[in-house]
Amino acid sequence: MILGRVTGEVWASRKHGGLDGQKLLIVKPHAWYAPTHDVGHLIAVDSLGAGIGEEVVVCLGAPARWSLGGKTFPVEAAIAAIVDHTEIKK
Amino acid sequence: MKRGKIIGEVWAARKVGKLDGKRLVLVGIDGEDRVVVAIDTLSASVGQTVLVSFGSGARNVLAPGPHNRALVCDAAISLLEDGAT
Repeated sequence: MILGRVTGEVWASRKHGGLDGQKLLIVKPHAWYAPTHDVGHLIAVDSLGAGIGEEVVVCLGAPARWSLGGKTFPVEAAIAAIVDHTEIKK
Repeated sequence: MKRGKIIGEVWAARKVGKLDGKRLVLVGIDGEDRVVVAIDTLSASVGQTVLVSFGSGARNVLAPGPHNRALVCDAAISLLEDGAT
């Protein structure tokens, strides 16, 4: 999972059925948590109600689809937690 | 799996169902400019060298597969290292 910050939200009327009723958040991964490939942003489904500006933990891959109930959903990122506090001792 | 070092911890009261009560730690992956959030069930301490399982392997750390797909987790600590060459 990666840490990121919610920078926006996407809503639409015409979309894949699997996205109906889903909250779609734009998440910007923290730069200093740069994964090997450069990820400018990603769109994650949110079942927790994260607000814009909040720090979140994002789970990537198949679990995001399964969190919606199956493997037919066109998603690969889901909000796993809304961060209250992070502590780093480098 | 990848080898890494625990560099910190993440506290989050609001988590998806199955992750409630689970500890989230930050792991710096060896040799990669990458830090991931992993579930820790072995009580690793900051500074410790660990192995991190990813994908379905990570879910199996929390609950035996294959019917554990609803676990919203893609990284979990699977080993606390005592030594390596």
